[in-house]
Amino acid sequence: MTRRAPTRVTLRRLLIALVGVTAAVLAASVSAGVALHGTATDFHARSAPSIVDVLAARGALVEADAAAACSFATGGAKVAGPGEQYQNQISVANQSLAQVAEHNIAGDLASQQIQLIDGLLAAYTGLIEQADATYRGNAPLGAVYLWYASWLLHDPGTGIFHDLDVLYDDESAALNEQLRSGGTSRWWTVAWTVPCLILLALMVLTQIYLRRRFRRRWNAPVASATVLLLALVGMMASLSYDGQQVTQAWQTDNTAATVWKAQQNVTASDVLTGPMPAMLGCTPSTSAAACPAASSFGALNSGGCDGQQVALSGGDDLRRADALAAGAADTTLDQALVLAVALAIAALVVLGLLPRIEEYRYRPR
Amino acid sequence: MTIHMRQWVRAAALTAVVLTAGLGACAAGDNGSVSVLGTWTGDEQTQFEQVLNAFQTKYHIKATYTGTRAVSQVLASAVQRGFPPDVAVLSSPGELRTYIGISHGLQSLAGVPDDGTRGPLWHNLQMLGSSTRYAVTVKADLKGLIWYDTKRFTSPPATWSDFTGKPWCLGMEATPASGWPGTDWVEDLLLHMAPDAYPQWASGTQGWSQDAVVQAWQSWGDLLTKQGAVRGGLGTALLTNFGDADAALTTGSLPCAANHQASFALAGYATDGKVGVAPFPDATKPRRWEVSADLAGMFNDTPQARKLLQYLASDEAQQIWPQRSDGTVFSANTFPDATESTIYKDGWSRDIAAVLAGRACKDGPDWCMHPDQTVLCFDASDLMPPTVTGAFYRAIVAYLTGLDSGQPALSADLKKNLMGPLDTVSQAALMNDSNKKQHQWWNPATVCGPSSNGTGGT
Repeated sequence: MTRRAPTRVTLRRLLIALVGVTAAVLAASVSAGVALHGTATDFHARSAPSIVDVLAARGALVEADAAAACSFATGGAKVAGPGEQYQNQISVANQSLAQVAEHNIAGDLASQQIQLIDGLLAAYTGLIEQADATYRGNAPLGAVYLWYASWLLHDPGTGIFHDLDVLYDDESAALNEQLRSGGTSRWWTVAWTVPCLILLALMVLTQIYLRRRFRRRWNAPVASATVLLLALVGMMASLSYDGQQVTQAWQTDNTAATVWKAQQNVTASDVLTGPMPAMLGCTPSTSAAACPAASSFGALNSGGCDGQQVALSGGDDLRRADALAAGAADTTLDQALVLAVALAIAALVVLGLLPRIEEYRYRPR
Repeated sequence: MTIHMRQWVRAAALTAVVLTAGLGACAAGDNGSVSVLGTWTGDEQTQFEQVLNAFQTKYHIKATYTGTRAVSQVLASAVQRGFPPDVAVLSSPGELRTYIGISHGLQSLAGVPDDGTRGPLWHNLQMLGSSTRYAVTVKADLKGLIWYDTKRFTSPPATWSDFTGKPWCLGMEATPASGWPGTDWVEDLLLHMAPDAYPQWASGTQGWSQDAVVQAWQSWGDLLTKQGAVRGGLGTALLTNFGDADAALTTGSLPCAANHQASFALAGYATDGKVGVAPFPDATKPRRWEVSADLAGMFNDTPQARKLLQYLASDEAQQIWPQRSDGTVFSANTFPDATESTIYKDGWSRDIAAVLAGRACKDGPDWCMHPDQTVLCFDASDLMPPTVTGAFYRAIVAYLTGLDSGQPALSADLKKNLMGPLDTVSQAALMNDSNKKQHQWWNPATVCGPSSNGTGGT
């Protein structure tokens, strides 16, 4: 035969449990909020800009190369060199790389990769300058240097686009890791959900116990605390949802960027039918192995020099994710509310149970 | 088991755990780290990293390698910003020596032991024209080899007439150093047509407009403008990567019959008898060979960088890369016969290694049988200051573009359009060179010399 604990003891135990779990709810919720704030702030301040800037640098170089090729192919280079559009886009590419270096989240290896790209970019602009310098007096020689420059961008193994893709992959991997292990991790949702559920269960048990022991329908303060707890759960769920939205928007963008990058990789057949190879006597009758360079000539073939603007895609969803992250990073009010609600829950629990405990102060049971 | 014994067992177990953890930490490189910048990418990077892994295992120093074809631009930028890599590997001693005596530049290797066994020629190269050792030869290449399709040649080609009607594999694209495969042609022609002029020209004491140099350019132009002399024509050669041109000897829809390329091309050719190798056509004695090397220099004087360079110079490290590449990469160090035979197993490897080491090959062709009649000369474009080297590359591209456009390779035109500007660039470079008082950027006496005599490098 088991002996039931005295009512006062049970009430005290319930009070301690409720206050203790409320403290756990407070700690878990605030920690989750702080973690989400940290991840969202990093995402907004560094991660998203670093990736947007890698894509911007890549897009600018695609445009610069196409602009230079158009200028030479149409003969405009004789007066305008590679052209203003080329100069502008090279400037954009340089600024974007400087921004990547500033926001880099992928550590030393990515820093080294940025240095390599800087070096190759210097070589690329040097070759375009050489093409410009020679084109006026010797058009075929200018075309050869333009080819070399373009090949330096497009070489599948060691070209600038390849190195930019490696940099993109490094930054993406660092961001994925940040999202996987940071405040947007599902484990944080579990971390605040579990104590909330325990507290809810304790509150229900407390109500049942009080109804049986004191013959009252509801304990109003504990019921109010329950309502506040449900409000807190709603608030935290909203925060977690924002975090998941950031992750999903980034994943969508990553897929779009991969497709976009693949579209920039022109094929050998694009090159063989382009205007520059014909100037150099490298015609479709020549084997592909003899003219292996893939370049922006492909972009010329598809769009022509009139439509040389290369559609920049990739980055749109990332910008949406960035906006979401900016919102998620602003959690000061949310955390103050969480703190206030948790303290109110604790106060209401004490308010609901303490008078009942007091009733048993001078009784044996 | 008594309590006393248990205590001893626990103490022993604890010691073992601590020691294991300590060894693990050491294996992770707790003796510091060293960063290396070089030009190798792809398979070459993988093989060089195996050398670095062996170093890391031996000394517990973490070695991080970064490879890029734009090594010159990356190194110049890093030095200018004051954050150079600890060690950089360049294929041009002329470029490496421009970093001597500047802020965050090349550091002297005085005091770094050199246990490797190599001849005085390579030892001089490591001095970079100074009185102190500044570099370590990481690997070496023999140039002036003619790789040929054995179906198109009944016997190894020995004279220029043997190549009549047989297209050369030619590829000039090597961005950002496009044109360098052509510099090897001009250098080899000059070396064999006017061997006395070569060291003077390579060292800057004599210019480009001298008749011997112009004659070398003209001979190359005459060779390439013959009907069907170049696979796909000169326009195609200008746009073709040198590696693709090498591969065209055995594969592709537009094959070629002969390829003038250095020993590194061996890595792309199977030893199934379909490809043969012969020296640059020249019957005179002594036989002259052009050679090149990749040199490692120290830019941050740290104990880890010193240890790495000491290791790279050693016979132990020098054997790793040739072994891992199945004998397609060569060392400037001279190994004992027994070691050589385990590294260089097939005929070509053995023959090339014998020439580089100054040894007589066993049962080999005539060109590697007489080391006493062999002279090695460094690649001239590698010895030149970078501005001259760059101008040389561009002159090659301009020359071939002109030939492709139908311009004749006339001596007067060459002097006016190419050699004159190259002389101007060379004069400007000499004015900025530390050896300007001697009117040279390199000591001509050290450009050529007999290959290894087996003496130690120190």
